[in-house]
Amino acid sequence: MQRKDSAEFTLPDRSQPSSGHFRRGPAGPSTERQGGGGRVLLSINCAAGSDMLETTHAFLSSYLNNRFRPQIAQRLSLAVYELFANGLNYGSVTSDVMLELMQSSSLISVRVENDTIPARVQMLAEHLQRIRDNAEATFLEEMRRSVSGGAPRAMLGLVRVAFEAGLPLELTVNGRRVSVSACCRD
Amino acid sequence: MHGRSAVSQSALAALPRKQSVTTLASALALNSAQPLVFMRFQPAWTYINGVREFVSFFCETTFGRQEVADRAQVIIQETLENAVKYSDTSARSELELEIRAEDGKIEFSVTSLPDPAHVESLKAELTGLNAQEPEQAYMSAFLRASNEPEASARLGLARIRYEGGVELSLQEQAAGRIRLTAIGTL
Amino acid sequence: MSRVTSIPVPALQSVVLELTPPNLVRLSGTITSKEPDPELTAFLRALQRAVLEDAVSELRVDVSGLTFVNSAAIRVFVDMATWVQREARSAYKLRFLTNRRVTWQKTSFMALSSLARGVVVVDHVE
Repeated sequence: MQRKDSAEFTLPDRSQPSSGHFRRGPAGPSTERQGGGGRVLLSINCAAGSDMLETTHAFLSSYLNNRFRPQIAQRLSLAVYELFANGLNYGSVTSDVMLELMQSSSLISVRVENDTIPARVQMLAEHLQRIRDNAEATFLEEMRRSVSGGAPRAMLGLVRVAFEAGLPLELTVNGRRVSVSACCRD
Repeated sequence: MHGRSAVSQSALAALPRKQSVTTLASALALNSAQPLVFMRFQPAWTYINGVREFVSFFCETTFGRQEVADRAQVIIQETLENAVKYSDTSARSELELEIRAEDGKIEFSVTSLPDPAHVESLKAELTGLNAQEPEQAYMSAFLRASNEPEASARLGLARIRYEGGVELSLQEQAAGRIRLTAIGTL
Repeated sequence: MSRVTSIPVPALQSVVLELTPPNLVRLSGTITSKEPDPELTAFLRALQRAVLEDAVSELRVDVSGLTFVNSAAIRVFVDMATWVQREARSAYKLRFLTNRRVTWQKTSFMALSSLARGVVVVDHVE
């Protein structure tokens, strides 16, 4: 499978008012291991639907705890779990899911990239917009939906990253390839 | 999934046994755009077990065969031990681990910043090792271990080749870094 | 009274040791320490001396539960065989009980039995 490479790693600009919760543009593996906006600390490519979540999360949590302060490590650990779960559960089985941890001089980010169907892209964009508008209200709504069950399925994972961990979410779309990232300051 | 053109299937067998370890590296390196796994970490012994166990699980899940996971365990343990033991103790001395797979071949590489005195010794060890068939080198390493208390380095490298079912090569990189690469068939 | 029964069995971190007199020791878990654990090597050396003093014909070492070891740990088994050959003048055999499905056990004990013919015997329990 050929993917477009993105040589730069862009981070949310918090100094500007949010003009949208997602960008259309090149998504793709950060093949540059160092340089640009940051460097890759860790990346894992695996098949969507594979049984990688728990073991990868356990390993990443240990890695994060060894590398960063507890307050940072715990928040990123949550982001790893929810973003990776999202990618594995909703990614297309015809392509890889990529999990990436990156660090710039002052920011650390988690990014998960996967192919998905157009309907899912739209659902994701709308969900992230709701989170951006009011993370707390979205969190409570998804909690209620997860308790009551029914369709559509509750989407509690991503809002936990924004609300519980306090990490802003960014979505980048390139055709069927989506990239969701969360970052925090070191 | 990992799409560039393959190294010839007979490349390993065709190479003369006494080829220098650096030209062997150039001939055999896989060129897939994106590694399956990439990680950076400080050269600390405490990381090794966790990385080994994760890689073992990753290989078993990705390739669906316990035998690949078993080989990966030996390769990861012994290459990382070698890198950690002889790493420079400065802050810039990070290890980089990469795992790639392409067209029936799997490649593990560890990049490190060693004590300069170790590099020549390692090159000599690898040249001596590669001059024998893997099983023969393994038996020689056992015999040497029996007679010489300090012989564990060659036993570890011999294990990588024989139990791991891979060929080893060394590349010297910029700023004193070295990359030890192990390539074998899946 | 068997000398083996008086040997204290250390409690180690990643490997469990079980001693069943007169001549069976079982190791299970993993051994991946940077250097061979001094408590483990001291225990095995004491065991080997005790077996020699008890005039037992073989020491059975069950490693079938050792799922992974590094090369420093393999050195421990090489040292055991070397000790029996040289210090004990091959007075007894070392019988390693292995699991043929565990790769390192297949290869390492094959090599060890070639290195120490007449002293090392390898059996498969699984």
